[in-house]
Amino acid sequence: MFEAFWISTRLRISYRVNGILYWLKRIPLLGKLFPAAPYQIAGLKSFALVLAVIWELLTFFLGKLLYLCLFYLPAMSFFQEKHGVNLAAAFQHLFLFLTLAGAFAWNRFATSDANSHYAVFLLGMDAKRYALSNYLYFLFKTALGFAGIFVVAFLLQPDELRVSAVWILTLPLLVVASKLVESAGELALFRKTGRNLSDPSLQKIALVIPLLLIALAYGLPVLGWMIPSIVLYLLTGLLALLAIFAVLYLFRFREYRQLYQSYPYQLVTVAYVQKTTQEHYQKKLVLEASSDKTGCAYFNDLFFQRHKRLLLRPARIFAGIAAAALLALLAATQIYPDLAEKTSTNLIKTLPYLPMLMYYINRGQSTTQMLFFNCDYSMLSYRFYRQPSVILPLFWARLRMLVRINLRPAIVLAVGLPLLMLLCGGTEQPVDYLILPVTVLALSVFFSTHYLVLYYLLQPYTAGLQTKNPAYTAITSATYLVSWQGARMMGELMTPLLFGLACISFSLLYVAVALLLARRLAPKTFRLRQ
Amino acid sequence: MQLILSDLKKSFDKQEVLRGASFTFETGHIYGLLGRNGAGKTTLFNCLNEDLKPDGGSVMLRGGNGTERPLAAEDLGYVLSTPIVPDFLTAREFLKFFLEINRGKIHKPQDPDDYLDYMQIDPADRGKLLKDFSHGMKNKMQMLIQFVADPPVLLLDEPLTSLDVVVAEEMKQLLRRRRADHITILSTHIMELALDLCDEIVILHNGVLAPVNREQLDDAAYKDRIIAALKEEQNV
Repeated sequence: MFEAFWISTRLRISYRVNGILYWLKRIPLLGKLFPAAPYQIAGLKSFALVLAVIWELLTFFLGKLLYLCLFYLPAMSFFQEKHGVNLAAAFQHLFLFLTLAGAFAWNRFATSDANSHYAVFLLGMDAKRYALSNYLYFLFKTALGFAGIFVVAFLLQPDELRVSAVWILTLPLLVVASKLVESAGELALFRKTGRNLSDPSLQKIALVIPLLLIALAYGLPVLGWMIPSIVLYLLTGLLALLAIFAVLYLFRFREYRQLYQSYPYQLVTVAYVQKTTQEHYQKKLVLEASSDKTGCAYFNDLFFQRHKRLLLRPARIFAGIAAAALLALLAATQIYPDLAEKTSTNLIKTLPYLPMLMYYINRGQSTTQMLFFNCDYSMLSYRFYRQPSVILPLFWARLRMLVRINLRPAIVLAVGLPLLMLLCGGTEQPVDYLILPVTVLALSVFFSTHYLVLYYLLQPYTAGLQTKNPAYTAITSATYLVSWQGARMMGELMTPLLFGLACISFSLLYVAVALLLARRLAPKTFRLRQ
Repeated sequence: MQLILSDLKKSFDKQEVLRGASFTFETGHIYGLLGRNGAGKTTLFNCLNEDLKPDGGSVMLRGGNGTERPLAAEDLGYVLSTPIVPDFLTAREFLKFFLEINRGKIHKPQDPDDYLDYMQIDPADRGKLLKDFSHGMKNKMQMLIQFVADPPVLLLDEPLTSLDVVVAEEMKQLLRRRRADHITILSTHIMELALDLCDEIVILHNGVLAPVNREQLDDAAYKDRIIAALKEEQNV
């Protein structure tokens, strides 16, 4: 048993060491300092091993600390403030229900992940020994982690929360016992029905039970109900007793390999997620469409027609939401004259928020991703497709397509916002009626061009369907920051009129420069990354 | 016509894959490019196809009159081992698009259906989306695009390995028919295919290209010679 545990731990640690080395290599700039094959360098490997071991030790406490901070402290102080309950009693109540929920939702027993797949199926380890040794280690880690935290809390005795010494032993025991009992139950279910909790027919139950327990955890104190300490201790005792039988059952059970096999295994990697995305796009493909155009326009037209639903649906939804929001605001202003007055005077002041709004509703990034996954991924392997005579006309056809897609919600805003302003009593500066819609339209064209030009100049996707260009990631993140913080800061410095004019001029200038760059550079940069 | 590779070099970080590969390929021949796993066959093809930029060396095409010029995009066709075709088009549409954007470059262009007939693609399949094509059918489409473009140099990466025996035989016949005025280079791991289809065997070993002369050897002896050449120790 110990040998199986030692082998599987070494396997897990080497998997993690290689993962650390892989990520170190990917750090922008710093990654360049590492050799091409860091996996062979002994010094580096030792460094990663130290990190991996530290990480393993930290997992004893860090996760539990985070769990307690997130799921307990805010709720406990809320219950104390609103319902005047005792903090220690609230803690015990929450701990009982959340632990029972955790026995279902966070119980790593014989589930299929990369480590178990490698160990059991590729290396042919004994499934029972592998499962039990790793599970016992998991339980040991859980118990020790909680006990450690309670010891520290007991020694510190924070204000208001009276930490009981009994918790140090009882609560970790409750966690371990409930998990053991649940695991034995799962095994019994598997032996009887051949199904595990990931089976679609059981998924609902596996979800409903923990949700119900979570609802009881947070709901009962709101209603003025809390489980008394004695129930907690009695239940812990009962579960501890049952856990003895559960352990015996776990050791007697033989069909571990079959159990592992019953879990659908899929190593979830970035490439896998991207591949699934591509398959998702493909499923939505429809044949019924044709085009009377020729050349690149024909090619792009068919792409657009066949992916129409995917391409247009979000833009249509945004346009619908924008129209509904504008109509609702208009109706409200007709009922409340105060609101109408406020709207007419303040609407123009919202201009600095427009870049952010347009950033969110723009489909540039997702459309270029779709262009890659469903078209360029295959076509870029043909050399004829990478010639300027194809790249440039297709770029223009795509730019028109993207602008058209994004203009749908933009037009609703460009028409709706000035109309709202007018119907709410108008503005003192007639130029506002012009600056507002033109800014919306200019920003829409700006974002469309921005993402398409970025795609052509930095083509971030690899043949393996991963995003692999730090410059692209950096620029798209910067776009978000500038649209949000940058625009707001600019808005504070200048009048709405000036801000609008600045946005329009910037968009025009940017589009002109970007198109020029695309024309000159795209034939060289639009490649499949290796 | 000759395809002249001179001193082609390519490294990935410190790993030298091509260490000055040189060779002259001649029209009218089918060359079998053999090499061990990781020898750099695909890297060589990717460099020729401009998917990768070589670190050094040149790739020239020498015409019948002796003039040399760099290998251009329209001079080269590349058929990948895993066929990749645009999923959202039908076979007929893909071909139509290809013919339109290459108008003026294709010698005696024909109707898309004539080409599909030539490739023996069933009329019922021509209006289907390529995403629904089998692996072999996609391979045929990829090959057809190259046949239509008719470049003087054709690179095939493991071309027939995933095809059923009937389609593989059809492809072999097509390649033999085109042999006379083309330079065809196919990389393969299957010795039998190389011996059956190729006129010359070139090995890529230790980052350089070298012919393996057949002389008067029979198949078995020739095979031994090729394997011996591939087993030679690396010259570090």
